Amino acid sequence: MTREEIEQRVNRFFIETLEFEESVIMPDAYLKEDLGMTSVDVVEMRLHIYKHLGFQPQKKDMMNIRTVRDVYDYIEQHLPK
Amino acid sequence: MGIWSCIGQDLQTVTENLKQGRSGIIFDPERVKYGLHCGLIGNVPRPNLKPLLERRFRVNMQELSEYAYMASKEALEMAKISSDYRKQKDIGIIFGSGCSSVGFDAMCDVMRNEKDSLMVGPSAIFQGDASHVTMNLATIFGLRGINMSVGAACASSNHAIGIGTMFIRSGMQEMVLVGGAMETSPINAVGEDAIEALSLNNDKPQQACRPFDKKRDGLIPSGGAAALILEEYEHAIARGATIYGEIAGYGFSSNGTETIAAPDSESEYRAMANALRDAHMKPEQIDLINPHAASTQIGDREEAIAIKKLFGVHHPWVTSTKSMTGHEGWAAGACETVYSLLMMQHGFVAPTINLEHMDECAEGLRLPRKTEQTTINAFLNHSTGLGGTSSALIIKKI
Repeated sequence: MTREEIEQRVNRFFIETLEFEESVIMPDAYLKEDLGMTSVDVVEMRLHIYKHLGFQPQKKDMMNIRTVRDVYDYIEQHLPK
Repeated sequence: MGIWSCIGQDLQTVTENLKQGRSGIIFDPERVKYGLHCGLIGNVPRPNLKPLLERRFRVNMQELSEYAYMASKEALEMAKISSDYRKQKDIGIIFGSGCSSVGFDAMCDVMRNEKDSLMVGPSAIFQGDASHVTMNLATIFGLRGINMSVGAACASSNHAIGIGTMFIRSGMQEMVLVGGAMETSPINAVGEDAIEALSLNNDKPQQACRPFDKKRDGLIPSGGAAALILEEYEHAIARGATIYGEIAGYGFSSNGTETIAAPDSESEYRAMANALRDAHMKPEQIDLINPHAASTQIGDREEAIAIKKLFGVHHPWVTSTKSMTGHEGWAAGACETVYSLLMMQHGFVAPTINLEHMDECAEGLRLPRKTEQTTINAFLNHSTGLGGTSSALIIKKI
């Protein structure tokens, strides 16, 4: 999966599943402060990655993911080759 | 007050359908395919919450909390309790309800198949808890007072109103949102179907529920929700609230016998007598009884015995709104309190429909076969539940 494909999938998850406005999904947007993501949404995101991208994100890793770009980067680094 | 029921999703429609004696029961073949012997169900529409609530609220909700939300929204709007007002006051919430069996079942399925709790997702805990309804509504409406659900089988929401009343009387709360909510999902009816408590009159859904009729053959599962705002009298007067009735009495009892499923007239008598005592009222002051009367052979009989023993020569109207709505389970007490309040407000007694051949057990009860125009100054709402719990509320006009 290319970086562009990862970004598209993540954005689609934010828009379709979490129902965030497309206009707020910018790479530097903070998940909590700008998107309004809650701890429950973070669990939803972990589940989504686990189900659809083939690896299990660790709970401790989630603490370091603060922006939309962090999500892209994390998936790119951990996606099974 | 607010209502979301199989005979209407607003107070005006429900009032009209009560007057017309319209049944909200349908036959749903999917329930029989699922494995139930009874394919009957109250036809309660699912509300579309997407335009009303953000996803973060909706995602934790299931059928019964959706109904509860709609009923509560109507009640809060009617009582003019705004979002800003809720931030200033510690308003409580007490509902008679249980977990979402659909949510709980889905969680179990995932665990059996995936054997990994991460796959369950974040909403399972909020759907599978016994306080599913109140945890959702308290969050959505920003309620800051007492926050709990009451579990007492089919008497749950009648008790919830009674317990809410005790919080108001004690001075610990000025306002409490009370009510009940029940799902119509087939899984919720499995246990009752298994003990053959449900009607098998699948061919005639609208005639299936026949309280006090000789041919009654079991209850008809139903669902929905009702909500009421309980408020301390002076508080209500001070803010100019419209008052629909005063909860004058709350009575309760438990059978204390070793049979978990059998109703007991002596116990039901005590619950209703306790409510009268609590209200400082006499039997002749009650104009209407909305009984539990779910259309089971033994249940209706025991309740008729209890009513006749308590009310003796006095003959208040006795009408079972379940004849139209089916058994709204956890929500029954709250829904029937709303139906009775509407009858008191608009001066009529709704018919007990399908009463073609009155059972001997009901002889002496003043059961209306058609809508009766009359003044109601006070009514008694009675609910019973498995395990021998009984709950009686007396509400009178101000």
